[in-house]
Amino acid sequence: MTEMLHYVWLGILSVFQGPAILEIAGVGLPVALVMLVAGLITGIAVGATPGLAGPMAMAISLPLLISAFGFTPDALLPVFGFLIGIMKGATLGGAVPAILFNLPGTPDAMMTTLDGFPMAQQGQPRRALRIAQLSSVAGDTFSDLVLFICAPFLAVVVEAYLDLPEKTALLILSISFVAAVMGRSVGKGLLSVSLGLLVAYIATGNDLSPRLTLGFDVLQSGIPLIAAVLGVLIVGEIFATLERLWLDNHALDVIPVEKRSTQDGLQPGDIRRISPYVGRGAVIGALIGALPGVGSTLAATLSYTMAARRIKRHPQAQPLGTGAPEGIAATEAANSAVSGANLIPVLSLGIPGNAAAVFLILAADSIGGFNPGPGVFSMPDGALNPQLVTVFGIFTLMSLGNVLNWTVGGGVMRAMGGLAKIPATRLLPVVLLVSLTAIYVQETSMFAIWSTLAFGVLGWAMRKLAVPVLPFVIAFILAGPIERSAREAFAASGADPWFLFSSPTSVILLLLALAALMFLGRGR
Amino acid sequence: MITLAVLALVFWVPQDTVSGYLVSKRGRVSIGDAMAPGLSLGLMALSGALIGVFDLAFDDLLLPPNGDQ
Repeated sequence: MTEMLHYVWLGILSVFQGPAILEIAGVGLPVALVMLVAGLITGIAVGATPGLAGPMAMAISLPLLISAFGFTPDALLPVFGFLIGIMKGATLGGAVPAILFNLPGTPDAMMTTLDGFPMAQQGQPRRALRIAQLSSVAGDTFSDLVLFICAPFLAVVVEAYLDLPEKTALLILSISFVAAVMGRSVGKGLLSVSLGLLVAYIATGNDLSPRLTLGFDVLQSGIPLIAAVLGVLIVGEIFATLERLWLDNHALDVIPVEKRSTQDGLQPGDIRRISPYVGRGAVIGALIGALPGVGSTLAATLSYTMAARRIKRHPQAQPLGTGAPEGIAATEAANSAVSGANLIPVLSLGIPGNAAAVFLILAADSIGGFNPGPGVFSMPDGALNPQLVTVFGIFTLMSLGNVLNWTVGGGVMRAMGGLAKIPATRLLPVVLLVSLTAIYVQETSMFAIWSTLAFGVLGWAMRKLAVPVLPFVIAFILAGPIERSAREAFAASGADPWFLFSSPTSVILLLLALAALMFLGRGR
Repeated sequence: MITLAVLALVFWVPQDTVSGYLVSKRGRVSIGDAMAPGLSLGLMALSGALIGVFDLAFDDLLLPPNGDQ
């Protein structure tokens, strides 16, 4: 326990005693802290702009950050600080256009429009924004606490009880689960997974001659990770949104609220009124967030539905959908509580659960010196584990992000209200250009640009065919670890073809994977 | 999709990998470079079958949400 506290202390110090970006009155401002603040403001701005999203900002900024900070372990905390800032800011900012203009800034803020916009129409936009801020930050803080407690515990259990066959089975379970819960059908989820695996296996492997290159020299080094991820996830989304705007030029137009009441702002009794809904939403969000692939939209919908059921039991209560604070609170607490818990599988198992987690893994993979997985939580005797220090540095940054969201987040949210008026038809081409520039800055090859555009077309086609894109990205990232652990497990078992069924734990994990595919995908 | 996956499994993967599905070197058997892509293509064929059986060949794409043609 003392050793663990020592690591916690080192993590805190790594943030506050890291390199200073500038000095004010002789006191150096730590670069990680400055990047966190910059990320938070960027995140709120991006969340408040319909057509943009947190992952989009993370995608654009990641290559630029890596170019700025380099590929040394010192770059980890500033880069993570900025990305975590965006992640936290975007969940907060998504509520702004939902409340002010009936237009969700992020998909998970869709349910916020149901009560947020009516409240704003009744002349109380500040009250709606304040309730959204308090609920969102409360949910996020709770979720982070769940992460701080559960991630080390899960990592220790995995390291102690899971051997190579079980780890392979766990990875198979993860991608099966993601394929089952995302998209309209299991078939389409599996198609996305198989495409992701296949693309990831191009030009990798153990042979001296790279596999599956079709004889093209340009494929000898494989598909750049950043090109595949950004192409499918971000460029595909830009193409799809531009097509939507092409077909309906007013799809992202805003409906401004003109009416303003003198009784705007938080009302007496509001906190007591929303507290139970915030608590319930936070628990729902954290539970759902801990499962890979299950997004914040589901958490928000579930929390809102449960709140509506509870309200119906009290005939004198204001019904949801009419500008009730409970509706805003239930939604915002749940969708924000997903983000912290989503990092549990990332940090403890190396398995990304959502798009934001994908970019954190991408950052770790690009910079080096930090490999998310059970190993980061190990405490070797007589030696310091720098990865564990980084983990507690990340936790420190997340806690500081919450403090900033509690204190100044509301003011920044209100200040970003006007961003929704920027036309997406002008914004998205700029985002596309900046994304491609950022990729070129990191990869310095035109092949990466053409690959990104090709994967962008693939991402657009997948969206058109209702094939989910996130399983593709998660499978692409997990393809290497799955093959590696399967090879090692096969070799360790003495070439036993049934190595995956060699222990009860791996059999249970495989049965769970099968059950996920059979039962979770039904009825959608 | 199933046809594509099977064709790739039969022609592309064996032609474009050196070590095949399993490698036997000095009496030790290990997984070859063709195994992972082979299983991915098998998964693709399975997904094609599932889509064909349960999604009725993308009919939700061909029909607008209200069902009008």
